[in-house]
Amino acid sequence: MTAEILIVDDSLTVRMALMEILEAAGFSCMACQDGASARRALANGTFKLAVLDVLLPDDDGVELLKLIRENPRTAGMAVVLLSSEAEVRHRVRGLTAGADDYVGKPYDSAYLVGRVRDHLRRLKGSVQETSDAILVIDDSPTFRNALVEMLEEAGHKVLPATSGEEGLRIAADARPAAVIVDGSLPGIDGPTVIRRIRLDAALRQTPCLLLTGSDEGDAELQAFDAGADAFVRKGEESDVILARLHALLRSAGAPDSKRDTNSLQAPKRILAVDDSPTYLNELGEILRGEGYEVQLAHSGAEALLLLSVQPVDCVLLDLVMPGIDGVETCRRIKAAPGLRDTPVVMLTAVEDRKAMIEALSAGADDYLSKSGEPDGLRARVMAQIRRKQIQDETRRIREELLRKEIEAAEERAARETAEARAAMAEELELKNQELEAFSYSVAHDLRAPLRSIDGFGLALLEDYADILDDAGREFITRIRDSTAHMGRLIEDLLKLSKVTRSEFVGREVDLSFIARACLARLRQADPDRDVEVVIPDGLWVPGDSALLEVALENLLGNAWKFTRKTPHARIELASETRDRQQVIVLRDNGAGFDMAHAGKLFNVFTRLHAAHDFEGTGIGLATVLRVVRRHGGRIWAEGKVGEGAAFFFTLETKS
Amino acid sequence: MSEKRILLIEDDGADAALILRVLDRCQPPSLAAVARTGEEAFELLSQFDDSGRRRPPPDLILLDWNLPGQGGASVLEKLRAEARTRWLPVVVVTGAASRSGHADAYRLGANSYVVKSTDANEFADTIEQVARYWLGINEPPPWVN
Repeated sequence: MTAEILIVDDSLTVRMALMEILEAAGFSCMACQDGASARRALANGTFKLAVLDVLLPDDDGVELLKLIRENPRTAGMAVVLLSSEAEVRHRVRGLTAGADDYVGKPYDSAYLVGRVRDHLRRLKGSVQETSDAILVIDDSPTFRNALVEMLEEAGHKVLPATSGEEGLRIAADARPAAVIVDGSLPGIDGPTVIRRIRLDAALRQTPCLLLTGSDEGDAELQAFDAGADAFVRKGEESDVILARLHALLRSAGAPDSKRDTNSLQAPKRILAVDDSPTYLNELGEILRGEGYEVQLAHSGAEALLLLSVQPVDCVLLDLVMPGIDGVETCRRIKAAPGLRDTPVVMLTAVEDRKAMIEALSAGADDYLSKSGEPDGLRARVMAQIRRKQIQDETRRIREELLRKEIEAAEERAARETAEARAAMAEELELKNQELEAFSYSVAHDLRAPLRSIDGFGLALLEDYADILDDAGREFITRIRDSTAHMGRLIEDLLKLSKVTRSEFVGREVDLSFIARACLARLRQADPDRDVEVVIPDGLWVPGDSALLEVALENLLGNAWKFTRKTPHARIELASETRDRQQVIVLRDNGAGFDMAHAGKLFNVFTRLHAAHDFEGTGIGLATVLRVVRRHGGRIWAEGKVGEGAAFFFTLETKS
Repeated sequence: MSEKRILLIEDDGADAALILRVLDRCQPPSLAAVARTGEEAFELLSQFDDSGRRRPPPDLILLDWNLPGQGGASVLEKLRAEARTRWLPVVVVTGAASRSGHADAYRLGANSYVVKSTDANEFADTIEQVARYWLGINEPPPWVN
């Protein structure tokens, strides 16, 4: 089996130490001492993660990183760069080149293992489920056994551990639901166990209960200082321990208590800036001891550079530095939009009012004398981080509320729109029904008198033929002609309104078939006409066949009508492509029209020919226009008086 | 063979006169009675002759679909509900075609549904064809009368 982790470091000690801690944590490792062997290893093996030293005798860790990112086979690997804090520029270079993490030397092995575990877990893409067991860490067999017994009686599964080291190992493997740890243990003590747990991304949300000696007065401080969620004095009744544990489990299980990386328990990154390496390293020691991840910068410029690639939770800033001094650095931090919320604690060797005021006016959040006790430093840093935490939390809650408010408003708006739309559709439906009823009664009521006029006209002609003279018969015939025209107007207007109201049923329509059927009807009504008709086969178009039939009936009817006086009448239907679009065209060699009137051709009641030349209602082309518009298409015409007309239309049915 | 009898239910006097004029010239010869409303029609249908016997039902009913009041539909419904008139040929005539009227008429038991054309020649032709078919060609079932 190939190793999971590739370690590249030129120092034998570092290589051995890394191998040891990572293998102890259960990972398989392979170590390389220089760039050349690392390149070979990368070419042959498949690793999940690489720990790269930035400075190699023959190579550069960042170059190796670029190589890894460039090759598709290795691009997905997690890469942790390892370097001494002095090399700030490397750190910036590494992070911008795509490093997943940058750990400074000297590194804390537990922290490194935690980061490695984090990255590998992220690569796996799945978060291991938390078990429901309670981890109990206590070196005293009597107390441990009593606790185990009590917890098991209460229905819990219990994982006992006799030391902090064993407890951490079990925690990493089993991911317990909660940890109960004795404050005083040989080796790693209780608060340290909790701190280590808080450093591990997978475990940091685990509720931790610290057991303290009954006579320790600062038990509470000690417990919360370590990041414990609760503490119990060992002298308390067993049911107090159980009650506290249950309270912890409840709040951990509640959905609102889901803690993200911004929680109080997440490891905090601190940037310490000082031109004195001695003080800087001392500062690093103290803060690392507190479980913080510490970055060191030796100048204001370095600090600003680091902050530009990686935000931190708190900045400790020396007031007096060569180059960009503390006040200026602080001012720049507070002026950057992404950084201005980062707490800045100003450090100074001299404790005077002037320096303090200067620092605070530059935007520093707190002020600290270098000569003070480390406890003071710890407390202030923690206070600042907590303050930022609370600020972030408040902002998060506010944003969450705002987001919910917006969502609710959007939902309300969407609902109102939907309701309005439904009401509109309903009203439209109602209006359509009304219109339908209206058209029917119009048709019915307008026709009745026409029927009567024509009926009695015919009766006069037939029954009183002997009384009427030629002029009388001619008048009655005129009455009947007008009646017939009125009848056609009513029919056409009804058809026009139907074209707008009817339901649109889109599918592939055989235009050739419809055209032939229309022409057959025209021939049947006018059998003496000799018209040459050209209709190509299989003219399929998308559209509503009933509507298209109405359109073709009108267009073909017009062509038929206006070629009546043409000696060799010819009507041709064709499909052409213009601008990559199908255009249907109907040409005839009939009476044609003056292009000057082309614009009003499709208006209702527009007639370009005298009634005695060509009869018509002036509604047909308006109907055709509506049909084409309902298809989302366009229609236009070309013509010349005495030479014929051509009607073009497009159909763009989407569905 | 006695003259065929027709009941014309029509409220429009002009239409009624025109229909009667056409029927006068049609074969087979027929005698038409006109009812202007549904009520009048049912009154005519329940009349007794001089000898005190109930008159036999007509051979054909022409029913205007757009009667005032209840309309042709309710008249047709009642005709189909009564044993004496259940099997009578009923031709619905309407002033304007409508899809729903067409469907309703046949659903309620109409034998034909014809539209009165505004063209007098077409109108006459339609009435003539209806009369010829239902009075001459169609044979009523033996239990009618």
